[in-house]
Amino acid sequence: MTLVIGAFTIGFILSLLALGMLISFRIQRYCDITVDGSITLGASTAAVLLVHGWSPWAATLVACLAGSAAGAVTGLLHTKFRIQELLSGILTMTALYSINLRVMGRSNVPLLDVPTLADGPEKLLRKLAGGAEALNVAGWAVPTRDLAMLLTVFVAVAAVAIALRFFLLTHLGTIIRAAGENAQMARAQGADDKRMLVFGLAVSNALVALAGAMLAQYQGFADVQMGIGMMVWGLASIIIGEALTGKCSPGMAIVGAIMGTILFRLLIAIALRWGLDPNDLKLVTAAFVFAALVLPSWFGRLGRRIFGGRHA
Amino acid sequence: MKLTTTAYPDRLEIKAEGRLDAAWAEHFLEATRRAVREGHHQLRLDASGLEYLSSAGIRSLLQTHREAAAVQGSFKIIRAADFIVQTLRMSGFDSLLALDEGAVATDNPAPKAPAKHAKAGGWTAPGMDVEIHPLGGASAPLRAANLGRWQTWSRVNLAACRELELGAERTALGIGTPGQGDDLAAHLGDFLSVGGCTAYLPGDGSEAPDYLVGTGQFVPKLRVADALHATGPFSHVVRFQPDDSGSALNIEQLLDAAFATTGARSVAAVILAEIDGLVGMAWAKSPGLIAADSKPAEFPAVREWLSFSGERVHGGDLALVVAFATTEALPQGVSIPALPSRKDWRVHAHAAVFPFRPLPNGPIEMAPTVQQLFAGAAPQALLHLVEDDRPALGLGHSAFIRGACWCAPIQFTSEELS
Amino acid sequence: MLKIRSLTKTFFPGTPNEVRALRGIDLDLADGCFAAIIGTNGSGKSTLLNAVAGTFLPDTGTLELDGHTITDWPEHRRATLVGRVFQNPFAGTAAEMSIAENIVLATRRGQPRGLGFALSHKTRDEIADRIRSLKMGLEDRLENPIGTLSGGQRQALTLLMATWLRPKLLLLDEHTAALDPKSAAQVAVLTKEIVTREKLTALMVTHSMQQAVQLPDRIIMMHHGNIVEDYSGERRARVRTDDLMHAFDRVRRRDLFDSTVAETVLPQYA
Repeated sequence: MTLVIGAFTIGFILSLLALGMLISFRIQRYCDITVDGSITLGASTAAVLLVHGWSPWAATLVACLAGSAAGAVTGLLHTKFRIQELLSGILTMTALYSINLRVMGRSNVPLLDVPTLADGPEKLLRKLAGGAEALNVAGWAVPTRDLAMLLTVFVAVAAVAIALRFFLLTHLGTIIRAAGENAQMARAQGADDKRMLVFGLAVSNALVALAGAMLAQYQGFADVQMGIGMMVWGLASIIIGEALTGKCSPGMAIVGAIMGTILFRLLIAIALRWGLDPNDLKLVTAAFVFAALVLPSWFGRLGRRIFGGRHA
Repeated sequence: MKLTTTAYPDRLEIKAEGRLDAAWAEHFLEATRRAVREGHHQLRLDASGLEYLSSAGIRSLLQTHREAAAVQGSFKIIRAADFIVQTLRMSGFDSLLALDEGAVATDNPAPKAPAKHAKAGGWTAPGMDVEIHPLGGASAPLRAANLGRWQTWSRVNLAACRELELGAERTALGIGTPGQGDDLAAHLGDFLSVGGCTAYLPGDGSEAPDYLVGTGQFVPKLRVADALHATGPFSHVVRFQPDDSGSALNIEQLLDAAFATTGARSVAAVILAEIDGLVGMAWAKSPGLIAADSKPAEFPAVREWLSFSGERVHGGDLALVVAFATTEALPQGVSIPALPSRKDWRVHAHAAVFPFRPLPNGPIEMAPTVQQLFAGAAPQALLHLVEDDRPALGLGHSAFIRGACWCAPIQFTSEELS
Repeated sequence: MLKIRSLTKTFFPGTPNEVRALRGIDLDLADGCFAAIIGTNGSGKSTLLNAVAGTFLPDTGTLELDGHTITDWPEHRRATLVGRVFQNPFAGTAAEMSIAENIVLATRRGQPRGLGFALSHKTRDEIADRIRSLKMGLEDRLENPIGTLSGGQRQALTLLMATWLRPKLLLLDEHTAALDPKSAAQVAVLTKEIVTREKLTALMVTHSMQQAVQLPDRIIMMHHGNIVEDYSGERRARVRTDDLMHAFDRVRRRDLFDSTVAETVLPQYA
């Protein structure tokens, strides 16, 4: 049961990463590599501020702002200085590695006995449960603290998802989506597509940093290496989500990204339980994303060949 | 429907097998038009293989008949099956039927064209059937003159522009306009006149030539800055057509024929012929607008004044050309430019372009033929013909596929003879 | 309405690929005038349109539209005054978004876009009403992605979008060139209808002589980055496609009249 609770908690946290990447990769069609750096930036910023006695709310908020600044830098490198899409992300990501070390002062910051976002919900749960250390969930004893964390991240994801869904249907959200798909058309409608891109990348990386801040509070530490491969994980989640709900409306894409992340985490949890070496995780993930990107067209071609359809 | 043609010395037989209906009528008409264009004016339709004849088919037969008649040719239907005869009789078109078909059925086909008519000592050209017909009348040289005498590229002196009457006896070319007064300066352009019919290109930038046709009491007049003209009947007509497709005569060859035929060292020639390609220029702006101290003849300024055909143009159309050529010294005041490739020849030629129409065979008369031409269609373009003798790039001479070249010996005088 | 003064633009200056696309264009377009620009390939006609739209900034010269000097305005800012339809039917719309969403973007062309809900019921009804006027049966398909429509339908919608808010200037860049002949004719008719009804000032690049003769009030011909013909008023009234073909032929022949031709021909004009 702990495994399931853990998978869900990490799943919800990384849903924020997936939602952030949904904005950059899918809505803006911008291949933003900043993600690997900005998730660590969120974690390190939050961790350091918490260690310095900041309230978890304030620390998390500042982490988000830091993330959005990172996203904006990538956007400006691309729009103002005309640096290629991937390269702008790589530059920011590389710079962020040093910045993260500077922020933390060392490569790892443990969060022992500092307040976290889950403290409030935990108090609430204990009050409801009469001070119990663990609650009975479907016959399993689950630590109150774990439940509180799950509840916190769920509320956070739900709030972000709902806000994002409504934002995408506003006038501003609509033109941002249009600018992602067809910048020429957006300009013809009077939209500054460059500013849209910078804005979108800022929002996207704020969400990614939020995921980092929560991950640090959940894991109890921030590590300078923790961002490596996060982009590919996020991408895997989005791809699974699209397989689940399709690409149609913004609402469904959001739900899909969340469901995809959780499903992906569950699969990983199960795989680890069956004895997958954690060191191989990233290889497996990369292979999965490769398959998800390549197989559909490969199967399509195979199908045409087998069923004697027309050759493209 | 399948069409097979066989040439006989006196006629062309077209054998049609299948259905002559709406779907095929146009195809049939195109085939007979091509035959007429190629000089086969006596057409016979061998109807023995016809399976069906609709009203659209009959219409195409009548049209062919009409077009053959227009060039003094004929069109008859031979070996018609009973149902064809019935159909034509019922529609009242049995005049198309040739009832003496027994006589024509026994000839031997002669796929080669008829025997050459070139007279002994006459002018010939390789690949061409040439007939030379004297037109009767005296062969004394016509009096020719240069009127107006504008020095090209100088400012046009409007007061020096002269009026030239362009009656049926007169052949002329030059730069002029029917306009009056101040209008004159802005509307000068190239013209040519034959048989009382004058085509001119108003020099106002519009590319459409206009024309004046003398009728009854009306004799067209132009105010001319510069004109060459000769008055009187022409002495010969040279008829030419290729004996196999692909040959053409250029204007230098036709003028050579005129020199040879008339035996004169100065000739006027009027060519009415299917065009292989014309090379020429036209005034893009009226030369009357040339300012006194400007240098319009320098490149690139000259492009504002002259427009160049750029390639051999108007192939397949019909040209009416007026040319004056000489190989002798010109009297005072007459100026004709030399040919670039043949400096002892001086040639000035203008061409008006008309939609193609076939000409009757044989010795046709100049003025009536040209009058019919103007009655049938308006000129589409007017060019001052030039020789382009640039190495490699040059477009060469204007050339003609088949038609007539009337010629007359002329004698230039230093008077202007308005 | 539109005032263009000595506009020049050279692409790739100083390289072997240097293209002097616009060589000093002066053009005045009166309010309510529908002008077509025709020209040979590479004549600069699309470049001129793009210069007005703001796709690039000119090297020299000024642009004035509706009293504003827009020479230095970026493309998106010019959209406050300018409506555009592109040659490529895919360029004017966002394929994966619905018809309604695409159109709602046009209802705010050049205006601030807030956090208000984009597709209210009222807006949706208005969109359906105006789409009904196209008589293409699209009013029942407002939720479909616009990418599922044919090129002609997309161009009709793009035209509707470009004119939803009355533009000071409508730019049409060969907007029927990529369509099949029947759709092209439909879109051309629709263009004329809208421009006439709304009394729009419009500039249309076209390669169809037939369209150039049928639709606009004024025909401008470009060649080598210059305006070489301008048919307006009386002259415009009598222009036929043949005249335009002749005009093309004239500029082509002029190019063939080089110094070697002058050398061989001029002695024959002595």
